[in-house]
Amino acid sequence: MKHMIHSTTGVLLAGLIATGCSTAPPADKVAAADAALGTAAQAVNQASGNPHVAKYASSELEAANTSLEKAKEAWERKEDLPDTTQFAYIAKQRAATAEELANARAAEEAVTLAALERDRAVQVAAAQAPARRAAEPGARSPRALQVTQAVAGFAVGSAKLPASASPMLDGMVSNLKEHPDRVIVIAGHADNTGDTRYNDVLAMQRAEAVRSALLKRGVDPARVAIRSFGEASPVASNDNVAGRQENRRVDAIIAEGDPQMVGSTQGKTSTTGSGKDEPKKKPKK
Amino acid sequence: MMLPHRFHQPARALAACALLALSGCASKELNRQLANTRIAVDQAHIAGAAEVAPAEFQAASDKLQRAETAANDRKKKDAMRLAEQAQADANLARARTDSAQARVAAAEMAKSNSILSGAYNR
Repeated sequence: MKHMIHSTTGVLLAGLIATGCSTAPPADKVAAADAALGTAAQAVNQASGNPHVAKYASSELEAANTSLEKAKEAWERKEDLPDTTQFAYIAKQRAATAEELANARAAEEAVTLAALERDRAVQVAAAQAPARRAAEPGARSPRALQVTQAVAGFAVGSAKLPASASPMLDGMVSNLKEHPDRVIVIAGHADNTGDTRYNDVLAMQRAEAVRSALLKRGVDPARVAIRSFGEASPVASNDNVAGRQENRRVDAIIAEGDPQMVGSTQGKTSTTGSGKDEPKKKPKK
Repeated sequence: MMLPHRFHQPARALAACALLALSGCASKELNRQLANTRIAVDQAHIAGAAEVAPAEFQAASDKLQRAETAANDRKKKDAMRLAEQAQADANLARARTDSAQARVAAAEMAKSNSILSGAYNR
């Protein structure tokens, strides 16, 4: 960045000061504008170097560049230091915004892809489960999965558990208590009211509300995970009131977490047990 | 959690315009900027920026207030600068909030994946 003393406009300024012109800006204001311009240029440079920005936030970066150019033009004009400082500040904020947005969008895309993979794996495993049980009579399938519509009918824009939740929650809790090796993944959903990002958050809050209720009922937090589908996975049409109400829901997937239970005859009526609730069994090698 | 106030902003912008018209300082450009800034601050607020990115959000809120005061005092240039800065601050606050939430979602996904992979793999 050119400093006042070395640029041609700096010479002009010095000339103005020498002639006693009262409109010459004070030296400290010039230095401040110069510093602001330097910071802005650095911020825009950093954002340009971020590989996510080019892919996910190119228009935001362009806006930052536009402001930086205006700041440089104002600096060359030199009579308008406030403009330089203003445009430099805007450029700096826009550059930082571009980076944050790019990181957010990259993370969101990664989550979406992972969710799609997970859904496919869940469907495949759920489809295979009955066949496996039939093939090995008397032994429990280690990959039994249940996809249960757990809690539906949340109010619009709300993550407060509806009244119908209580018996559903009791059912989940007893399932988990009877099978200490099982784990639960709670997936929150939303109808399509409001924007996508808002619904991603709302759906996550709904899943969190169910998790909270399970923990209050004594479920070990290590056995509970939550995720959000936002509005991306409706079970009914969003075009009518009843359909949207169905979509405002939380699903639960209960799966066996212990892979070593293949062919095992262990169960809640184990002869080694004392009859009390037993803690999660360690896998036998 | 409240739904976005989609229809809230134009009414407030009209009210502010009326105020400025009375004080003889009705500038279309300034009114439009103030309206855009209010929308940006509101959206950041709804996204949760007050909790997740408090420094940027507070800066945006304060500057918006000062911009409106300056506009009422007929200090058009000051009002314009402050409103522009407030909009940039609000957008940054919202972007920080989105970024933090995306990180939370990614962490939850990783956690649920690791729990489920125990059920999938022999």
